[in-house]
Amino acid sequence: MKMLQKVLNLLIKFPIGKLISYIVFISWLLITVIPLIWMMYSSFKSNEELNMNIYSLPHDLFANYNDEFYVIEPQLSVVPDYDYENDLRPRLIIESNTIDVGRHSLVFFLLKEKLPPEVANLQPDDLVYVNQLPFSMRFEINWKTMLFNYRKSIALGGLVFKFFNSIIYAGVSTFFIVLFGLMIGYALSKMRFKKMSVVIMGIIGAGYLISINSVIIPLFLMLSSFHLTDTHIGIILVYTAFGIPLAVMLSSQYISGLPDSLIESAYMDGATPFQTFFKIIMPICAPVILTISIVSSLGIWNEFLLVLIVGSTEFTKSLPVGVYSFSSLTSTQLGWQIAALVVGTAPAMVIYFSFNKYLTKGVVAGSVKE
Amino acid sequence: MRKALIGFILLVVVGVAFVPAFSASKKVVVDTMAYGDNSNPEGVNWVRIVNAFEKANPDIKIQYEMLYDEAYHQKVTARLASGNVPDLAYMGADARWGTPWKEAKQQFDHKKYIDKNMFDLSLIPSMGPRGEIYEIPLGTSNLTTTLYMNEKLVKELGFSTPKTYADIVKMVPAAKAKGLTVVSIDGADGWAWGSCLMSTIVARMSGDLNFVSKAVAGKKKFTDPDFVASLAMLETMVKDGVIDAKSVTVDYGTNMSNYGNGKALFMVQGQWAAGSINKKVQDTTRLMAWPAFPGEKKGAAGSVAAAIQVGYGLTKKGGSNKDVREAALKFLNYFYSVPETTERLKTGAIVAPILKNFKVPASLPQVIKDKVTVATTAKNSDVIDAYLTGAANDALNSGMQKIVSGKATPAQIAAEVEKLARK
Repeated sequence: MKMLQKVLNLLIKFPIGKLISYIVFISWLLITVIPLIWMMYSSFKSNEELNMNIYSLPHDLFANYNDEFYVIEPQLSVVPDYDYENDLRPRLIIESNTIDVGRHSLVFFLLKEKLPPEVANLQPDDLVYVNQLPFSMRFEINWKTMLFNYRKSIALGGLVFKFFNSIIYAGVSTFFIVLFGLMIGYALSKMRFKKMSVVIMGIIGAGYLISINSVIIPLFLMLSSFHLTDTHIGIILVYTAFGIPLAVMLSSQYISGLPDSLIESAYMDGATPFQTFFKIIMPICAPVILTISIVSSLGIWNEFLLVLIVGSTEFTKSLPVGVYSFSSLTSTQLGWQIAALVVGTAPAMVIYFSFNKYLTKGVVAGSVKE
Repeated sequence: MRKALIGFILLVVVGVAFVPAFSASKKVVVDTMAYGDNSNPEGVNWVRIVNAFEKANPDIKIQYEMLYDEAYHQKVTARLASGNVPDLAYMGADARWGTPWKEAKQQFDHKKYIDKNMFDLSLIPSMGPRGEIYEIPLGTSNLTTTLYMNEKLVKELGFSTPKTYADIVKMVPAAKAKGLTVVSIDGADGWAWGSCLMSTIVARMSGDLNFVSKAVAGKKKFTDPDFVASLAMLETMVKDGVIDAKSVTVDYGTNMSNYGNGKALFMVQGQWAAGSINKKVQDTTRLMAWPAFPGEKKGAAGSVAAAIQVGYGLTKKGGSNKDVREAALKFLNYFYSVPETTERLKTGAIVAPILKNFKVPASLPQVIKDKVTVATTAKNSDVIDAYLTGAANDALNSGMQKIVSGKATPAQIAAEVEKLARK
């Protein structure tokens, strides 16, 4: 009875609206955070584990101290991870009989001279256990098995190169989006051609409604005719063009809230429009620049379809395309794919969490009149 | 600071735009569309072969775009439509793999250029009206309707290799009692019903190995009793418990996993799956043509559907440039070399090689040997999607899923396919 009284008192003190809002926010938090936690720990699960139980905690890649391997013959599809042209010392090739069995994914080339004779003399199809090997080999097998998904996804997916491509696309495109977006925003809100501004703003607003996905085929044909497919410039141009409308809307709203006297004073002091823009307007616009930068760069970082269609070779592919490359109709390497997802998501998460408060500040800036 | 930043950005832009042009200027670049991805052996081996070839031939650059499945087909269409034609590509000669190249007038006859000391031309089928060879197939004809049997499981239940469909039906109660699937199929993939099952049922029920190509050409109808009876066979299989109605939710990976983990007595798939079967089950697996169906006609008894194997071929654009053509042919000879072909045979990627004087290694798994036997002994019938394309093929594939789920009748689906095929 006392317990019930306590609950009732709590409900009275705690308004029902507040309770509902807490439930909604906590649910939203869980919906957002749980997949990230799942992704993080699943990146350390083997493909078999992921297929057996998608929610279980990682086990196989960590509990590898007594893993079973079998000896295999040298074969073309097993590419040595050492300088085999110069290092001709005999090696025992072993493949995991626990992780990704039969796919030549987890293979080790053990120097026979460092193996005990009973292991060094094993023949193809013979079994060998990790704990039969010398400590240095066990240690190498242990950590390489733990990081199996990351090693394979980075090596096979060429994620390092794709990572730099993503940085180039996000960095360069965002730079131009901010520069041109702010220039247009400044011109539309502070220069004296109001009727023309309305028309231009309308056109730019319409541009905001068009997504890359909806015009991907005409875009591809257009870039082809300019020989800009499979080039960084072609992709950056498209990202810049599609990022400018949002930048213009945010910046013009922000700049229109600035006092005209600032610009008039600069003009009276002899500043040219460009000097006014670079030396007066840009420094004041830091919050909105940060907002545009974060929104644009995160959007470009995660964008998939344009690079898939316009980029042909590995030279221009970005991280999201790398993630996609581990999944197909006939075979999906979930573990590798999730590891690639972590590699692709981590920088975006760091940027978002670092600049989150500035993002909110920039979005609401200009919407409140003081 | 600002100037330095702008300078850096411009440097990056100029760099990414022009550095590749300079670095590639001394090499013959073969612009290639490759088939595969990083999760399957096709893609992983492609990258390995290209790296090894480029190391051995520093004057040639195989500049490739690698895609898989529908993404590949869509990109082929987009690139051909925009005039961005590759020099070398993964292609075929049938409706699915050959039509885009044919319509873009990019098929190139390799007959004059193919290395006759290396390839056995008698094993490469004619792909055009004058015996043209538009691509070099990875192997002999591709068997699409093979049946995989876990011999150990079947024997444990007290049965032997089935000779007729009725023999499989007899296994149903024993299999169900042990919680096993009788015939596993990746029914969520529409193409699996057409390519891997119906192609053989149609030939068997009609007694005509070329029923499908004749129906597409208008010499037969999809509403003919034989075709309707073939579709009705699916209903029978579900009713008999041979195929589970829920198999329409099973995808390729799950199908392979179910069979590989010993949860199914039989599996429906093409020959290409032989190399990907879980090693633990591979040793006890036998590969065969489907046993005799009830009511099947003599003309196509024991047949297996097969299509001309796809492979890499030069496009007209690549073939018309002497330097590119020679570089591409050099690469193709490397790609189809004896060691690489042997590797493909071992991994199950091909049925049998098309190389001259090729010796099949004795150490191959039984399932791979079975494949060579079926390829050399069984009669070959049409593969449906090698002839039937577009909306009609889509309607057939989804229609078979509906029949299995009990949402449509064979006659309804046959009528719909016939209507769409004549459009």
